[in-house]
Amino acid sequence: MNDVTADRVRVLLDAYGADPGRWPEAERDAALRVMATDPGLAADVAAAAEVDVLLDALPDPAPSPALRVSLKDIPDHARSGWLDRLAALWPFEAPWRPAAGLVAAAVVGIVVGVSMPDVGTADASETVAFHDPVADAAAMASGASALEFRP
Amino acid sequence: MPRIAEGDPVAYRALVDRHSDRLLAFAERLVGDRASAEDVVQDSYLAVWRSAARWTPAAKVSTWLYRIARNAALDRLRRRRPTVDPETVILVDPADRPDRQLSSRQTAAVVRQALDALPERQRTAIVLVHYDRRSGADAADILGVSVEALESLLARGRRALRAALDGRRADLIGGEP
Repeated sequence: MNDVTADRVRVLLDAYGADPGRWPEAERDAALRVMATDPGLAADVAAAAEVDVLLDALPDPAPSPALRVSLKDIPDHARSGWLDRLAALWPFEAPWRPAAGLVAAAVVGIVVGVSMPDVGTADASETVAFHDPVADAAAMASGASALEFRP
Repeated sequence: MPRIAEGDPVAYRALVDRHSDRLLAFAERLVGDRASAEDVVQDSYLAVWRSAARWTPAAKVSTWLYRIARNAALDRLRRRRPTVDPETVILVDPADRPDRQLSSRQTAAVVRQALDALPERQRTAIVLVHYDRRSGADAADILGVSVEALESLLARGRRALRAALDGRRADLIGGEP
């Protein structure tokens, strides 16, 4: 690519830094040629190199052999799909036990519910006690009890 | 990848050998601490093993892996409460040293803080291109942006770093401020 301009070199320096090894390969040679012939780019190169030096002050994190071993064990331990999700919810023992318990409880609930006689709903005329914070505050302000409020 | 999708542990372990060290470094630079980075890598490889069948040849394996790791890192960063490390605060005070020249450990802490303060996409772009030496096209693919947008993220991130560290340049790299 031959259409690399000084402005494009400035963009490369701003974005990728002063090390041409990080620049896009397709533009690298042309950009280096522009840099070699344009002394006006020296300040841009220096500024980019300075940021590179600052970034390089952060050391490379060390590898972790223990993590690598643990990652390689994943196929031996990881199951897939719903069994895994169930196991994550119940880490104490085999997940089928609590699952079986839940199913049994559901069956008993259905059987009891179906076999019970009908129970009428609450009489609408019954007093329903409830708390309304505004009414409570008003009642308290007037010295009345706010525990039972009849609208 | 097709072998991993079929449940081949040998192929999966080759993927671990090939990418796990660099992925750990990438994650550590994104989340800022070792323990969280190890969790990110663990979660990422677990996701790869479980969902390898969903990989399509259109995406490079390493790009896919880095995308998964980036998302896992983002999840951790979102869940994390903002904290101030008292040790780091002490480390970044150059007035403690008579020669005002920071040790390499202190310099690293200052740069680490400045990097952590960047918006996540700018930080990720810099980590991918500067530290991981990924090409602009690869980094753009991982971030899901165009190369032009990546270059903008990089430039803004580097300018912000330079501005943040401007007053400390002499302490950090020994030159004149």
